This record gives sequence, C-alpha cells and structure tokens, in this order.
Amino acid sequence: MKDRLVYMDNAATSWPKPEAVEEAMIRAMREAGGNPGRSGHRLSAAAARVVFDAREAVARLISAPDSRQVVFTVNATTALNLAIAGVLEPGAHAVTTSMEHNSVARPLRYLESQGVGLTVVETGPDGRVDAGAVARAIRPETRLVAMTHASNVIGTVQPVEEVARLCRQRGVLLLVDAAQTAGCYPIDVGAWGVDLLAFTGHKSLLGPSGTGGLYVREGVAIRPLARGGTGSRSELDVQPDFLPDQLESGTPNVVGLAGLAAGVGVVLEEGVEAIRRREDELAGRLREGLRAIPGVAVYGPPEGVEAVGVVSFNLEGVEPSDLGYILDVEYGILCRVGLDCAPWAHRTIGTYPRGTVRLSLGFNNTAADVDHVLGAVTEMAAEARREGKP
Amino acid sequence: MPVFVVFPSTHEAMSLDRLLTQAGIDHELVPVPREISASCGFAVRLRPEHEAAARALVDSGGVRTEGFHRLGPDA
Ligand SMILES: Cc1ncc(COP(=O)(O)O)c(C=O)c1O
Repeated sequence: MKDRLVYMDNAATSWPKPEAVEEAMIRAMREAGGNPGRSGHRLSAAAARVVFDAREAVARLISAPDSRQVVFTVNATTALNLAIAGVLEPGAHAVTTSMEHNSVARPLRYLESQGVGLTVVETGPDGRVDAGAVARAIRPETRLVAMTHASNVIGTVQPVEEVARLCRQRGVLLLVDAAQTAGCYPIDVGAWGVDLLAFTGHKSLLGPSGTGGLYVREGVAIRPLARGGTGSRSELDVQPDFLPDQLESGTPNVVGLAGLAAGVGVVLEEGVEAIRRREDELAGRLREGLRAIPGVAVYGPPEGVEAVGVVSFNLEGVEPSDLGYILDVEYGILCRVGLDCAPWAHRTIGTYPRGTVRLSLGFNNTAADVDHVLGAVTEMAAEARREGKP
Repeated sequence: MPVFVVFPSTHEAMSLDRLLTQAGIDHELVPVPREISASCGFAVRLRPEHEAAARALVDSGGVRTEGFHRLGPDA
C-alpha cells in the first residue's frame, strides 16, 4: 500500500503532466530557442510560432472569438492583479464574493486602502453566490465585479453566465477567476459575455507552472502593469495600444507555453465535457464515501449544486495538518491541508482558522484512487475512535 | 521585386504565416527591412505573383497589417 502514490492535489497544480507536454517543452527548448518577438531569424520564428499556437489553443478552449485577446502571464495571480489594477481607480467601486482566493481578495483589499470602494457579497455555507445579490451590490460608481468561477476550497460553481448578463445590463465589467475551471468545466467567454477571464496553465490545462493568462474582451481597456520589452513599435517610447503586446511586456515563457499548448491539446482531444463528467462522477463517489465514515464532516455544496472536483473534509479530533501528514507518509495520498490561500472561503463555510483537508481530483485520477482514499480515511477514523478522540 | 508585408505585432505576422502555410503559398518570415519600418520582428516576404492571394487571406482572416511594400532588387 505504501508504494502507491495517489495524487489528489490537482487544485494546487496538476500532476503528472501528459507526456506530450514534456515532449513539446523539450522540442521547444531544442528547436525553437530564439526570442519570439525581437529577432527575425528562423529560431525566432519557431519560437513565435510556439507562442502563437498556445494563444490559439487557449482561445479555442474558452471560445474566445479572437486569439489576440488572450494575453499570457506567469500564473492566474498575475492575470488577476493585471485585470483588477488595470480597471480600478480611486473613487471607483468593486463587488466581489466571500468565496474568493486571496489572489482576488488581496489586490482588492489593497486597492480599498487606496480609495476604491469594495462590497463583499456573502454566500451561504454551500458557497453558491446569488446572482441577484451581486446585482443589488452594484452602485452607480461600480466599475468591476470580480468573482471566482469555482471555489478552490469546496468546488462550488458560480452562476457566471447569469452574473455576466446582469453586469452587461448595468454596464459593469465582469472579471472571472477561472483558475479552478479552465480545462475541467466548459467555458464560453463569447456566448456568456464575460469581459475578463483569468486562467492558469498549470492546473486543469495540464501545462507547466509559470503559465497563465488573461482573456480581455475586445474593446475593454486595461492599464498595463509593466511597460516595454515588446518587439513591436521599437521606435516609440510609449507602450503599444493593441493586444496582445500592450499587456505582454518582456520575453515570454516560450518553453512553458509550448507545454501549455500541448496540455490544452490533450484537454481538447479528450473534450472538456468528457473530463467534466469523469471528474464529477469521481467527486460524487468521494463525497458520498467520506460522508458515510463516522466522525467525518464534508464541507461544500449539497447534491444538486454544481461543483468541480474539489472536496474538503475534517475528521473529528484530528488536526488537518496531522491528517495530511499521515495520508502522505502512511498511505501515499498527497493533498492539501489548511486554509488553501482562501481564508474568506473558510470563514464562509465555518472552518476558519483550522482549515480542512482538501482532496482535489484531476485528469489522471481513477475510481481506484478514490477507493484508496476512502479506505485510508476509514482506517484513520477507526484509529481516532480507538484512541478516544476527541 | 519581392513584396514585404509588415505588421503591428508578431501575433499578426504569425497569423498570416499560418494562413499562407495552410493555403500552400510559398513565403518566408524575415526581419523587417530597415527601409520600411524601424520595428523589430518579422515581415512576411512573398513573390509578387502571390500578393493578391495574400491580400485576400489578410482580409478574410482579419489579420492586421501595416501594409504591403515592394522592395528590390532580389526576387
Ligand atoms: C480560485 C483560484 N484563484 C487563483 C489561484 C492562483 O493561481 P496561480 O497559482 O496560477 O497564480 C488559484 C490557485 O492557486 C485558485 O484556486
């Protein structure tokens, strides 16, 4: 049992990556080693093609009408900061939810200290935000609604399409944090009318760390965080005003983007809908199995509320950190414990400051993995009862 | 006299490169000739007989260019 490794920390980053991703990265390193935006030689062209292919692949995945509107960053956090700082100015107002990751919460709180108004819409313990409540929080000076597409703590999927519609009616921009959905839950920015969508490359898109980006709807103006280092308009002292160059300063992560394009390729080949169905089934099996174990509390949405494959639980009388350690050392189960960078969400579900054990499913997990976890937690629960905990 | 297509950004150059490749039209990515623009990055070089086809692809594909330029002497 100890030799077996069950990776269930895919909400932090996915592992293992498909072989196609490794191969694409090695190929890019060897055969596309030029600077994609600066020089005009063959290795430079090869690198530019790598970046172009990655942009096209992501645009296809999220149904962006035009791949120019996809800009690459090093992760979702940078994309979220770019979007938030790029549209909010002192005097403006923003709306967000109590389920946010601190990659949204912190930049918003910082801007609040600089004179931006902020309303945090609370959700119930199921984590699902009421679109009407978001709309009611909109004021005349509201410029941005920023919300996660799915919770990184309990998986709850938010009614993004409905919020997008309400935002459009009110002339407010909507920023969606798709870190937990891109690659494992369908996204259609064009049809939904989402203005800004941040994604990360290293989770369900199966790419390497150091990749991510922001979709910007055509016509939405964003102030860049960085300026310079675009091959384009070398003669000028001002940043180009067209995408992607305006928001992509400096040499990009070509090798990483080669991996990202390959990862997205694997996702598109399998189909997001198929991946979604598989992970949903496994998550159902996991939630149900955990709920049946005496002493286990499972957090998150009840049946009927949509969620991605992120499952949080606690075992009575055992600290999450101890549980995580034993799962790793005794059972080869790798997961995350604590607050998951999302203290707001843990307050919302009533697990602050202790946190939870978070199991997050991914592309490679199987029903046997889920059963292995359930067996391990069952044993640990029995052990805790024998020791008379609590 | 070859035709050089120049672009506001590398992304646009890559778009046309891809469309020309898909259409089987012979072309090359080359550094932007200094006589045309001070921009770094790529121009697409074509034989003059392919200019019309390339212009059609630019229009249908929504590629943004900064013009088609004829520049000699080598063909
Ligand atoms: C909901 C959510 N937002 C943002 C992030 C940040 O993503 P990244 O690590 O790519 O910056 C994560 C994961 O870490 C997340 O789960």
